[in-house]
Amino acid sequence: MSAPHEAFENQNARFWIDNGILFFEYKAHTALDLEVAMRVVADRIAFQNERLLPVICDTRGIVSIDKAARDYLAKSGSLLAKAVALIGGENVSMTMSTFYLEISKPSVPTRIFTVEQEALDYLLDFV
Amino acid sequence: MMKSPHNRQRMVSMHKMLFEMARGNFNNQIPLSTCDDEIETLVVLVNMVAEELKESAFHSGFVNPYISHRMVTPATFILDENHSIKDVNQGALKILGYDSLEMLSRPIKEFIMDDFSYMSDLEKKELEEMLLSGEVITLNFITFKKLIVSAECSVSRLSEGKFTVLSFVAPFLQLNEAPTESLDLKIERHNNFRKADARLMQRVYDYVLANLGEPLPSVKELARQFGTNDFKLKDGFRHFFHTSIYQFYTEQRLKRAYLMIEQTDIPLKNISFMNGFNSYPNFSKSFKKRFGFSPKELGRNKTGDFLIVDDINPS
Repeated sequence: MSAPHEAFENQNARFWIDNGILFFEYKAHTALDLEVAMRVVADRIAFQNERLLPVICDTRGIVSIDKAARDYLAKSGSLLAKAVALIGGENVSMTMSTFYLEISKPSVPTRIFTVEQEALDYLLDFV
Repeated sequence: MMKSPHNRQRMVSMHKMLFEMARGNFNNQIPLSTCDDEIETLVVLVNMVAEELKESAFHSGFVNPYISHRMVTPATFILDENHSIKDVNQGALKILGYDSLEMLSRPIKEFIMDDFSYMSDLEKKELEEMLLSGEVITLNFITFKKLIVSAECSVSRLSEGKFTVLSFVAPFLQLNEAPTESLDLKIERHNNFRKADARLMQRVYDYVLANLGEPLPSVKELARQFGTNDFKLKDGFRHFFHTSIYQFYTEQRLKRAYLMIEQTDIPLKNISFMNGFNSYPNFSKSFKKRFGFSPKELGRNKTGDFLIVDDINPS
């Protein structure tokens, strides 16, 4: 009897809202460049419309990310996001997430997790 | 593991890449592989570092002046006849990362990687005499973080004859200590801004970006918040970012607002408030000035290439 989730997807990502949290997931093998970054941000904020939400972002599908994409996400990627919990995978994924956090410096509170439950616990403060 | 051809190839690529970077060429990238291992994390990291350096520090060309700044710190140990540390100066503690309590009364050999135990007593005696007469010896010190500091050390005897001094100098910039005047002047000649200013301006830049939804504090207030004066703040920001703080703030807000108008149904008035404008007419005016048309004239059709998957989840 679970309530229907609103959900959307485009070429590179899928996202849905559950319990006041926006779940955002990059599709497998995503090479994240500026074009892709702009598309997912545009679609996400269109989807959120007026809702300011905490975001859990599963980055494990990202295979590469260039500087233009990092900079765009750090600036505009946080629009309508109260806070972001990044879910990173093993080695490469974790290195890319850590670099994004430390060097590109996203403009809303952002943290990296490997366990989804811990990410959700972190976001509870922002719901 | 290092022997597999693929790993070998990635290591070679990384060496080449690092050499290119040392020469000032940041244009290369190492092809990624599908491996998710430790070597690949370094490949990814080297690539990203090159990209960052290319765009920021070396955007306008890189010259390697082939000099190292000589900021030397002397390190001195006073040793007793058993080579235990009787006293140590601040420089040595800083360079090696220890507290004085961790070093005092301990044999110096505990902090040195080189092993002299293979030497006979006679050989040791000879070595000591050689050193006391002015020979220099390279010793590898072990730092608190288990890294190595390799230093050319000299040894001399204090007047009483009982204690010896072991000393070396290392390039090490002590925090809290003002840079030496000559270095300061050298940088001054290049331009009026120092590294510390760059870091400060970066912090201001990051602050503005993180607070686009709020009204921008006055320059005076910002200067107070960042512990500087308004002249330095205004001048420094323009120097590093080629725009004024207010222009930068407004440019970023207008870009955000543009995206929000284009992508959402949020009423224009709300969008203007969400981006720190105090009134809609104000917002509309800035918007028109920047984009050449008013917010109302910007189409509000969403991208439209959504695949709506609501249906997958029927109630």
